[in-house]
Amino acid sequence: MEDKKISKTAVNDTTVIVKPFKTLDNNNAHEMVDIITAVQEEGYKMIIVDMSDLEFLSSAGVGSILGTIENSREAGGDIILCSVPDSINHILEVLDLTDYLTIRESKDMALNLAGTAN
Amino acid sequence: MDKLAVSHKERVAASFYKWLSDEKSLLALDALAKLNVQFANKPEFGLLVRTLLLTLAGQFSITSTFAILREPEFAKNKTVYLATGRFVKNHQLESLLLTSALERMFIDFRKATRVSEIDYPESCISYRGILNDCGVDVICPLVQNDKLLGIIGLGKKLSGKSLQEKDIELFNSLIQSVVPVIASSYHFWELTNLSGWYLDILNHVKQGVFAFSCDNYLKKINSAGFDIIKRHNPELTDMLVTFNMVLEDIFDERYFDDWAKRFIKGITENDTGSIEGLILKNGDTEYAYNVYYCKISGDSEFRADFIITLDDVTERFQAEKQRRQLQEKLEQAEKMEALGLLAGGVAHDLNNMLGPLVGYPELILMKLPEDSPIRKQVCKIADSARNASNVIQDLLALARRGRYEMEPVNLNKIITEYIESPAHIKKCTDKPNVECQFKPGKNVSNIQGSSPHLYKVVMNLIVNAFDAMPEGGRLTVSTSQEHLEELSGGYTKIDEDDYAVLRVSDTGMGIEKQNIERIFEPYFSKKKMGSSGSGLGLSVVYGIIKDHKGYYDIFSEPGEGTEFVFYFPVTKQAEKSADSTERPLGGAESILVVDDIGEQREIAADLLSSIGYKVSTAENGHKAVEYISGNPVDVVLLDMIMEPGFDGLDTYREIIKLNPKQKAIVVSGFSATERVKEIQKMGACPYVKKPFTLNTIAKAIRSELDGKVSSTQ
Repeated sequence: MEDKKISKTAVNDTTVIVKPFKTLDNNNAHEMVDIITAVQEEGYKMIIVDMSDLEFLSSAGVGSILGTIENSREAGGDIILCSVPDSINHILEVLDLTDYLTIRESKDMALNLAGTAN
Repeated sequence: MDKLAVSHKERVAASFYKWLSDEKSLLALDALAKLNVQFANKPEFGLLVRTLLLTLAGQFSITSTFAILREPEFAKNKTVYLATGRFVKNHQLESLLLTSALERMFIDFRKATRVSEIDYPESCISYRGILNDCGVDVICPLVQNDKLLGIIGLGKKLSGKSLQEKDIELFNSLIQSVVPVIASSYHFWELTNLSGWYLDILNHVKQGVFAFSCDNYLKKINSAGFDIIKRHNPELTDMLVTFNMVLEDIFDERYFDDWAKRFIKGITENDTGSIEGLILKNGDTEYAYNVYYCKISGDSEFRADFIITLDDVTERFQAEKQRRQLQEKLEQAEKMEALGLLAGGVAHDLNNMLGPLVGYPELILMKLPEDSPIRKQVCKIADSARNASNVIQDLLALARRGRYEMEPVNLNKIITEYIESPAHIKKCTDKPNVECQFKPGKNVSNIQGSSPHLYKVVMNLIVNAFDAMPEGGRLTVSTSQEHLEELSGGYTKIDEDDYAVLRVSDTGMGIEKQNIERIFEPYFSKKKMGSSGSGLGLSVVYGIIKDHKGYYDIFSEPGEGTEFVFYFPVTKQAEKSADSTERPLGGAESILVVDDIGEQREIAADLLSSIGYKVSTAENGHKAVEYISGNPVDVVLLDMIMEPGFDGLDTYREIIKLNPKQKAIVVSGFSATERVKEIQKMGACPYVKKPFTLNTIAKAIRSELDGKVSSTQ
């Protein structure tokens, strides 16, 4: 688990947690897109991106979420970011994304939101 | 560094300096640095462009981006489409083609431009609508050295608004700084695919292609070339890959003849050349190649100096060989037909002349007292006449016009009959140094054939085999049943079926290769006249085999022996059981003998009267019809060949008008013709060959008279 850069854990039939480790940048952004696209196609509406272990998020990393988020929203779901470290939150602020993206402080809160949404 | 490059770099730098105070620009600089590092490390074109699109999405806070990339000319698809957000699986965008007009347009303005501000050329006017409909905001071409690699498009911002001018400028700067890296990645991708593509083409060339350097070292070989080497010298194939091999070692003289030497000499004198129809043996198999070579001229550092092409033409060569063999066979068959025709004509005349010689001795012997001193001489006349008649039968068989009584027969039985015959036993006694063996095959089915003729085949072959071994040896006759699709010799096409196979082999002097095809010709015999004395032994065999719808193979090696193999299609019918009850020879019925030759009439009348029949004669067809109209007879003995215009068939037609059920026997010195067959169709009359013996004709008459159809008189 630890050596994986992005992990995927299904919570129930509609919710899945995707967790990138350390970095989400040019090197693994396309992998992130592949994972999110795959779970979307499998029918998961709510995708929680757990950023608790994330140390660095590049433009490409941000792009991997923006490039796939509309799919989920069109299907009545969403991509929820949770446990976003301050440094990464700063980047999202610079990019004016904090209002557009659904962000929750903790995983439980994200799960709670996913549950409510369902 | 050229002016253009300096100004380009300055423009990019100025753009970034302008935005350096902005945190977002720092992010862009960071993204650019990362893109460059990634592009340098992993030059996978498609992946890089995907990352670029994600970076742009993140950088400009937009969800939808796309790239349409031109593929190299040889690629399967003209373009590659990549996208994020709403542009994923967008069929309208996917269907956009980078036409030459569009290419010129993008090359002209080179930089990121709003879709609404593009001045579309006439031929690309539809693009405006498509791009607008899809929600594309800004497009930037990827141009390197005046070549359009593709276009990158961005959708509107999250707010639904267009990108600001400063964003477009940053977008442009980002793209312009990564274009050189994208271009190298593109060319690397192109080259990687191109070399694979060329290799693919080369490996799908049917001919073996070998490329050599000027000092004769192998530089490249294709799959077909590899297969050719493997076919002739399998040990070499591993070395071809591992070691530097020179031409002469590859085409080793032991397997490839000395053509490589000739070839090297040739290439020093000429730029191109060929050796056509190079035959190489691999064990018993022959392969044929056309070899071509040509020098390669050019400046490429990677070029080979000359290539050799080996075109495997074995199939064509074999087909040509087979065609020649078939042609020879056809000519042979035509020759046999012509000879047969000639022989058939002679046989007819001779048969008529032999009539009295065969018939009268029996009559004379009947009348001579048992102790008459001339009985012996008369017997000799009869024997000689019978032998002469046999020779004529050979001629007729050769002409393949002899009438065969085809019925289910068994080869084993016929061979056994011959092997047990006094003639064969005598031969074995006379030649004790020949070991004669018969190995009858088990479960050999019957064939549709004529026993006396097949007996003759067996006799001729065995006698020939004896004669081929003057110093003694081993003679083996065997039979078997085999399912065949083709003959071992493969020259003749046969119907796939079960065949009864007769093999006669000797360990004698063998037949020279050039003579094998001629041995069936009449009088071709290399030995003294055979036992039949006709010089027609094998010609007769040939005719009989053909009449039995059989095939043959001959295997012979001079000094080692010969094997004749004959294949007869089998029949499921059983042999007729022998009729054990001898029919009474004579009778008291009335017979009309119709023959235009006086002697023939006389002899028939004499023979038939001698066994009790009431015989009348008629010298032609008209007289016969006239006679029958006033004097009904039990049976008519009708000669087939009479005066032109009113032969046996015409006569018979008239006779059956008078009596539709008139019984008749057709006789002829000639073989069964179409006209004879016609008569038989009309009345199912038996046919008797001339010259006939008393026994034969009496049997035929009796069986006709005792037939199912009763006389109506």
